[in-house]
Parts: sequence; C-alpha cells; structure tokens
Amino acid sequence: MAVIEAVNLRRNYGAVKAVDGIDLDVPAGAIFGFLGRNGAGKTTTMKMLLGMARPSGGEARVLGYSAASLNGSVQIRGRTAFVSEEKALYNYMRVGQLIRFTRAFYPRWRADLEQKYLRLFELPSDRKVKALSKGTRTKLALLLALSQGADLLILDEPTSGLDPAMTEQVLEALVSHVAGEEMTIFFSSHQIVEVEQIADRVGIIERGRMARTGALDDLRASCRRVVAVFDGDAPGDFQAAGAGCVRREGRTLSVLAWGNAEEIAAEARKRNAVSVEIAPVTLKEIFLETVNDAEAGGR
Amino acid sequence: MLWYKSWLETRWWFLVGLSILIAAAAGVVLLHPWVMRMEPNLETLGGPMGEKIRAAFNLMRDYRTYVWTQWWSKNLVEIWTLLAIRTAAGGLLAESSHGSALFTLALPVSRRRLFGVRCALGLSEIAMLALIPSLAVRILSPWINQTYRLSDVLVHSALLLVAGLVFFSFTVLLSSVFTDQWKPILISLGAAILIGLTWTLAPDFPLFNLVAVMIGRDYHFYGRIPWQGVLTALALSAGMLYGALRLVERRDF
Repeated sequence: MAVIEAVNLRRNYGAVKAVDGIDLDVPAGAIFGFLGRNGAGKTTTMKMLLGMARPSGGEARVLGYSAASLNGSVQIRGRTAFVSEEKALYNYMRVGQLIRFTRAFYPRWRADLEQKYLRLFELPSDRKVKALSKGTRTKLALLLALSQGADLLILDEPTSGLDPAMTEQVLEALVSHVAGEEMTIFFSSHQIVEVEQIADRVGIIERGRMARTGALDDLRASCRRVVAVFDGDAPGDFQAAGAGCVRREGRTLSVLAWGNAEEIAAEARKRNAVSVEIAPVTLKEIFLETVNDAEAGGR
Repeated sequence: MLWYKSWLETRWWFLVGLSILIAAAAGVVLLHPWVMRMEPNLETLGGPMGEKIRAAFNLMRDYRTYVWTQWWSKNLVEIWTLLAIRTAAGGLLAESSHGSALFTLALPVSRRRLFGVRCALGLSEIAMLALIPSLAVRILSPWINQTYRLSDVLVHSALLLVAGLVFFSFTVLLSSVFTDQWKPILISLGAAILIGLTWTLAPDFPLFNLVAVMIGRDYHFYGRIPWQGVLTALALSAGMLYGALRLVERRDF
C-alpha cells in the first residue's frame, strides 16, 4: 500500500512553477530520500502533502486522505510527524513544557520513546527553547516527531546546519528508530551522502519536476558509466540508445548509460575506441547527471 | 493545550495591562476627594475657558458623572483600546516570521480551530481588562464614602467591549495580511487616534460614532443602550473576523 501518492501535483506562485506536475509513490515502510537542489521544489511538495500549501493542480493522498481537503489534512497530520528545515519551535517554552504541549495532541504518544530520546539526546527539560543550540533544537524537534507514534515521518533537511558528529548521531537515531518501529520516512536533503546512507528509495526533483525516481539499488544497478578512449579526438557525434550525458575530453569519451551499458560500449568499440571500461556510479553522479540533464532540457 | 499556548504568548501584556488599569482605577477613585477640594481655586479662573471648566466641574460633583468622565471616557477607554489592539496582534502569520508557524501547522488541528482559540482567548482577556479594573472602582468607592452601582460597571464594560471589538477585529484582520507583528498594531493605533480625534472635534457627528458607544454616553446621560451602535459594531467585527479567518484558511505557509 502506498503511504504517499501524488499525481501530477502542481503549485504555481504567479508565473513561477515551484512544483510542476510531480508523481510520487512511496510504499509503506520505505525510507524515501527526496533529493534536489535549493529551490527545486522539495519543501513546497512537503507542505502540500501536509496541507500547509494548496496545490494549483493534481492530487496528493497521504495515508489514504486527500491532502487538499481541510479535514483530510488534519487526519494526515494526526498520523504524520513533521520536522521543518528551520526546526523553529516555541522559544518561550521550556523543553519539558514543549514536550507536554505536543504530547497532548497525539493519543498514540509514546512515553517510552520520549524518555529514551530525552536520555539519548541529553536534552535539558528545564531549559528554555530559545537557549538551545541549533543542534540541540534539532534533537528536540526529532524527539517530538519520533515520540508521536506516527505512521509517517516527513523531514525537511533534517541535518542542515549540524556538524558531522551530530549529523551522524541524528542519522543513527533515525535508522535505529525505523528498525524498531513500523513507519515510513520521507525526507528531503541535498546531502547526497546521507541519503545514500539511509534511504532505500530516492526521488530527484529538479525545477519542480521529478527527474528520476525508484529504488536506490535499482537506480545504481541500472546506471553505469562507460568510459571509452580513442586514438585521436573522441567523436563529437557519438549517439546510442539509452545514453545519458555524453562528455568529451580530448581522447576520452564518458557516457552515462541507463540500462544498456553493454550496447553503448559496443557502439564505442565500433567507433574504434582503443579501450572501453564500464564502471559503477555513485548516487552523487546520478544526481549530478540528472540535474544537469534536466537543466540542459530546460534551456 | 492551544489555550495554554495562546495564554503563554499573551500573558505578559495582559498582566501588565491589567495592573496598569487597576492602578489607574484606584487613582481615579482615590483622587476624587482631592479633585473636589480644588473648587475654590476654580473661582479665580476668568473668561470663557474658566466658565467651561467650572461647568465641567459642576457636572463632576455627581460621583457617577465623575467616574464616567475620568474612567469610562478617559483612562479606561484610552488604555484599554491600546491593550485590545496589542492583544489582537499576532497569530499564525506573525509566527511565520519567527519560523514556528510550521510547527503549529503540523499539529493535527484545523486552522479554524487555531484561529478560533486565539481569538476567543484574546476576547476573554480584553473582557477581563474592561471588567476587573472597573469592578475595582466599585470596590474602592466606599473608602471615600461613595458608592458606584454594579449595574453601571456591567453595562459600561459590556458597551466598551462590544464597540471596542471593532479595533480588536480590525487588528486581527490586519494580522492575517501582514507577517510583521508591528504593522497591524501601528495601523490600528492610527485608526483609533483618527476616530478619537473625530470624536473630540465633532462629538455629534450624525453617523455611527464608535467612541460614543464605547464610553456609554447615551447610557450614562439618558439610561439608553445604543442598540444601533452596538449592532453595527457587532456586525462590523463579525465581518472582519470572518474575513480574517478566510484569509488564514486560504493562505500558503
């Protein structure tokens, strides 16, 4: 069953298409990494899923409820925990006060998890929120989200502004939480390494459009880099079915292949390449090729 | 818990405002004997201005009129209007400028309920700001061998609240348009000063006069409730609050 389904979801701000017809299908139990550059449309998409922004078109359903309906969005938020990029909380409350305040809205609140994360994150219950560092505020926001007993966790740039040690601690907490609880995570990031570390599915959004989506392992398996070296200059008119971005640097031709690396390698050999190598690619390469492709297509 | 949140957000202004108003009420009552002792000094004032001051003083020989002049039409209406405007400012848009609006909006409650709770708490606070210090007038009056009727306290407070609701609602409406918390306050204060000046310069202006209803002029002098003004104020306020709610419900955050 899909926890998040979106069909042709759009949001325009005047002439600007912040989200331009994206489709989403996030199954239950998935950890979905939503990748994109700044301003690509990640946050707007998340806000539409939570009923904080109204779609200009298309439809989004979360946990079976329509995100555009007022009642539906309340139902969604009752079973979905959200952590915004800013992690801005109520500065005038103390940590313990904010926990008690939040707890009151969620009948499935997990007191055991609240205690666990209070200890793990070493949160000072009697300190004012405004006196917390950004890292501690992030941990508090995560405690509030993870203790809700939610079915879905939506995180917008959960580790932005954190130092590497704290980033690691937060990611570890997330992974171990999901291992122990039945829940789905939908998180955005432009930190590709952390997406690769915890996600099992990814979607790459560029200029409001879903440029690529699928299981991370499938994406990695279907994508290869073919590097061919020629005697003279690499051919400028190299074309093959399934070839992604093609780059020429002197005698070297580098082609990103989607699912047909062997055919591209064969084509390179036919064009008298002296050596041809097929190498695996990282998510970072897939991401960069995808956004560069989309950018070239948009020009 | 939303009540609790709204209370935490507004409590300091409320408590400080209440203290100031109670002190002002005590001042009005306790200064009455001192004001009455000034009568011989007024005899020396000449000219038309002196005449006017003596006429006003003669009116204030009646303790009920003294309280109306000094409390209902001066200290209370001025300070209370300022506090009503301050209480109304804030809400989701102001929260968005601090960044915490997304946390609030992620709670499983509708915007209608968020808006409703904030307005209801604000209304309760301004009702208490009108009533409690005015009750202090009644309670303190026997100390200076005077009495002030409870019915006067209740009717005047109700009139102030209902007519003053226009300023409250106007500020709520502006707070649904501007993310900056101070703009609605400044615009509303500007409007209040303009209306106050109109009242001072032309107190018998035939159109609906908000200040006359707020200070209960007709009730004090003729024992009449200004129903037309009350209903107009209520209709205006309801319209502005509904408009504000629609704006908040439709807004993207």
